[in-house]
Amino acid sequence: MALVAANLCYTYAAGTAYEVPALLGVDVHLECGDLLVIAGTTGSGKSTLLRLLAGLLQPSSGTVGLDGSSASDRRSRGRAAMVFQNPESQFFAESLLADVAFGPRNLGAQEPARLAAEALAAVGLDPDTFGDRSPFTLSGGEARRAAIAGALAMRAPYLLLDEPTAGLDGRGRRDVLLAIGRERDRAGVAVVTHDPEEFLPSATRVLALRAGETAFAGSVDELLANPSPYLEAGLRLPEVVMAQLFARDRGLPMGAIEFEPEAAAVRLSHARGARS
Amino acid sequence: MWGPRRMRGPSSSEECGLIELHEVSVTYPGAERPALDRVTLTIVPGRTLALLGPNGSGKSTLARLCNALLMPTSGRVVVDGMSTVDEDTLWQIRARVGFVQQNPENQIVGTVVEEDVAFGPENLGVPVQELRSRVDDALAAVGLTGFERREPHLLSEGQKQRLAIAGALALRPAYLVLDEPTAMLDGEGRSDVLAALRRLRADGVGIVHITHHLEDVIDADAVAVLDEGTVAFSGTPAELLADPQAAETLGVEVPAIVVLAEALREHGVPVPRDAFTAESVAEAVWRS
Amino acid sequence: MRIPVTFGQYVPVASAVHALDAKAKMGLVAAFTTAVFLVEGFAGLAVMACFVAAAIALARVPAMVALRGIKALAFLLSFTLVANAVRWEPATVSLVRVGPLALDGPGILDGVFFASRVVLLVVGTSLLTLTTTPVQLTDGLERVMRPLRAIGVPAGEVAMMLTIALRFIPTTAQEAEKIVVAQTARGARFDEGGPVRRAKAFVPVMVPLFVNLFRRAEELAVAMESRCYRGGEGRTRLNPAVMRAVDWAVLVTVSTALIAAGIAL
Repeated sequence: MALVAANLCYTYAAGTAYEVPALLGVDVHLECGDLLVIAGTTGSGKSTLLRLLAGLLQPSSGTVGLDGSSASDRRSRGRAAMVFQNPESQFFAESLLADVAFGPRNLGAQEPARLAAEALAAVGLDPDTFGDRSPFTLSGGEARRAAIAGALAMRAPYLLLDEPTAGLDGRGRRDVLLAIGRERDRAGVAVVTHDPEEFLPSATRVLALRAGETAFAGSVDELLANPSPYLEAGLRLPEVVMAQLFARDRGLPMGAIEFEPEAAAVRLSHARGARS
Repeated sequence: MWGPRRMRGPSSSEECGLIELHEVSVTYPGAERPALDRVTLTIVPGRTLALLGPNGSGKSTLARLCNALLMPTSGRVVVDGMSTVDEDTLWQIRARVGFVQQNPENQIVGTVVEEDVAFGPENLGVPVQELRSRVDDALAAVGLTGFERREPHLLSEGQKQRLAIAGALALRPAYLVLDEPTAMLDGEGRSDVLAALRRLRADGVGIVHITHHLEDVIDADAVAVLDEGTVAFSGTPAELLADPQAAETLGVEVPAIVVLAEALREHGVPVPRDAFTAESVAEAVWRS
Repeated sequence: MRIPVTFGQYVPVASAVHALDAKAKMGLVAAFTTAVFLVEGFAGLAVMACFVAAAIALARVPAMVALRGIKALAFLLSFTLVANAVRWEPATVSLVRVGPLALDGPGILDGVFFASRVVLLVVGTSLLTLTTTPVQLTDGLERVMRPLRAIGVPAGEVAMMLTIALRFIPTTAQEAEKIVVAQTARGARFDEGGPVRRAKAFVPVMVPLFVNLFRRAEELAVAMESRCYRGGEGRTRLNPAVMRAVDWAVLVTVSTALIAAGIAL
């Protein structure tokens, strides 16, 4: 049971004068419990890749399979839930509950209101207090989480998010990260971001794109062992990690690289002690 | 290039080029508590004031007081000697204090780049020949020379935001207030905008930079942290980060690298107080 | 996805007609329209048709593009023809009779005359939008409306509103597309059911679009006020469109010729 993409290629406006190749042969493998981070700078093809995985675009060549069926097949409808950038700009219903229930209702679910209430609870918005409120009265962080709940309510085995934390303040980002983390229990999650720092500590796999091609694909440990391809794709690692990498380059005997500053401090001071 | 050296003030008693907020309070109609409560701050040309604080702390309200978009409920706001409540000097103040919002898209009026930049001075009736030189200067200041005939919807988000800044610069302001200018930008757009702001500060523009990203304003001259309408901290970025835990309780997102530096110091590794980058911290560990 | 969006019918080509000031072209359209209505016979229509053909050639616009508007008029033209050609119990001689309805020689000629007039008007006036950018049109319109300020028409503000609307058309189109895709991803279908169901399906698109438009308007208003906008009075222009001698010359001579032909023929 996996979302598998093989040798995906996509060209915008193919055959016209405005042709733009966006993806040039990318592979993806996503299973329940995974957190796949798809990273790349603007124009690297990451948003295009997500749309292909969701079945919203047809690949120019290559395949996307959802548990054995093609992503564009009828059977795949609703199996990959997607959250776009700034999803809070898509609210339309009078009550939050009605808006979040839109997805499950369209897919013919038995109890859309119940699914909506559960999804709201899953993102930390109490359905009893928030359910009847107008979606247009929410704060930035609340609105973002509510929009994500709209996708969660669809109960799809694969959850695809495009820049879910962009534009939020610290607290908003933390709330969204928590909600995404909880979903991994029952879904495979893929997150597209131009700023992967906050997702790296919990990622199972990283896919870095550069001009439509795979610059790096592997686990976080593999990334930290050889960060050059990732960095050359124009991506940044957290400063705390970079400090440890610089120290390692200088010859300090660093063990594992830590994401948390306190743990990193312990490693660095031990390495410094071990050197002498 | 910009700034007070080129300005011709309206009043002869312009002895101090400053924006002064003196004991300013703002209570919105129907609100239970004031959005700003007796705030006193000064903005100086050629210096950057970083304004931090959680959402709802009053930062945007403060920004809008500076160019007379909003009037204080009590207290006064004075720009280069002109009070913002004075109707006669309203437009002079607006021309003196540029304002840039978060969403680049919704600040662009013109159908092509040069027409949008010219919008401000056109409103002031600036003669045609001077319009052209103002547009050229403003575009150069943000690095968009050559984009004159481009249509706005074909620009990247970072370019759009720089266009919005150019539109404000065309009025030759002495001050620039930016409300979370990089919130909707990715890495490249963000660094382009920040670079443009640094150049402007060097040219003598007084900048108020509202942001959640302390890394963006780590080299600011002054920092004010707002909390529920009052100034909870006022000082330099270094002073703020001298006590990271206190900063965190104020709602400031302390960069992880600063937490690392502090933790290293606790482990006995001498890391200088002004080490804010990965390189400088690694260097300090290596050298110790 | 940066595909250039061309608004309306503007054909970006360099020609003598493109180079003419928008106000001159508007004046010519007014003169042409007057002349076409003054004309009384087919000879006059033929002259007007030659004028339009010459204008199309000068504008270096492909003939097919210029004549595109006629297709949309098919119904109107047929109606005009039939309404004039078919008479109800005419007293005079007719060509064909079916019960009380008769197909009548002079009636057919009238029908053809009126229909041809419509075709000429549509093609002739479309040359204005084919050779003038929306911005040039808006600026020209503002200048032409300026005298109306004396009777309270806010010419400057109307022009500003038109300019802003034009500026946001591609942006709003992009946003509408994004919303449609996002709702589709939530299982919305826009191609199912009868007309009522399909109309309702667009509520999840129209509501967010309008909410965003209002938010946009608010932020834009703040931006405009911050940049000292205080109405249309006293504004200068970066690229002012000025009537040159050649614009006046063309306007006066061609208009006079057209009206004279209209009166004579």
